[in-house]
Amino acid sequence: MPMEPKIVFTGPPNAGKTTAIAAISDVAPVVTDVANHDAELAKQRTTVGMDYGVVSLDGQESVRLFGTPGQKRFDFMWRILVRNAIGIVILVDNSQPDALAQFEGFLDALAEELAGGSCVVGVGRTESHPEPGMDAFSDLLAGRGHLFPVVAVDVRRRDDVLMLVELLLSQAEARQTLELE
Amino acid sequence: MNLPANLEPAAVRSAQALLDRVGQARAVVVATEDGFQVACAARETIDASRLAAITSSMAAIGEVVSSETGLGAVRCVMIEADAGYLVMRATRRAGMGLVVAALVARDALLGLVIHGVGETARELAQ
Repeated sequence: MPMEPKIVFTGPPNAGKTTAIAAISDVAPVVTDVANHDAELAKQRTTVGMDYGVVSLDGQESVRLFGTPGQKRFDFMWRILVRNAIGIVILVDNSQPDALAQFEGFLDALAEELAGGSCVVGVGRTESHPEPGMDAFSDLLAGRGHLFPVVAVDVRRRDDVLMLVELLLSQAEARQTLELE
Repeated sequence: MNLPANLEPAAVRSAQALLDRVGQARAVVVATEDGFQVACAARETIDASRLAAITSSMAAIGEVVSSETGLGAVRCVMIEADAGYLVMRATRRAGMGLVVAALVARDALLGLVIHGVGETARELAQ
């Protein structure tokens, strides 16, 4: 049975994974957020299980959207959720002082899935926090042999999130074509 | 993390009491709803902070499953495996969501374990 493609939104806490899925999902998303009790993390609620939504793109099939928790203590959910995904969206919160280190943490944790896989990086809050620039993220990727798009996004904007999904799908498609040849 | 007053000692007491009551229990963990360890009583070395994070995910997914399928309020979430069970139950104390989890060997009486975890959850809610 052909399955609708699955993509996964991951990245550190507060990057906007739940918001991004809510911004584009055609159905009310499934969310598993609870009150955040971590004083070091300035947010009211945080995802501890997973997010789920579906979006159908113009003239294309539906895409299933899964979101992971951001905190390292939930890394077991990252590995569960990326199974069978055609690609991974890594969202980053550029207002965090250690945005690049947080990003690297995900590159390390998902090294196996990213090798030979599709990925796009969406960097948020760049208007208030332009540094580090997009090049810094691209350089980190290049240093690990990855060539993935890095774009500034506002995950509250539907069009921005759709762009991430489309970038990922075209990358996955290109990869599939190459593999067939 | 700011825990409600007296939560930690109460959780430690309750976790130990449940472990003592269930001879086949390998470990009892009390976690916050967002996956931090509050208390652990165990008969073996376990990574309690990891189990705390896992149980909070399981409890949250259980809530979603229940609400999406019209099953009503969740009483417990359970994993049955070859070597035993993990029984989890959510509770709330002073506005903070918690999860009680008992890891028990296969020869435990499951009904008693579910009852025990429920009792512990009610105790903590007071």
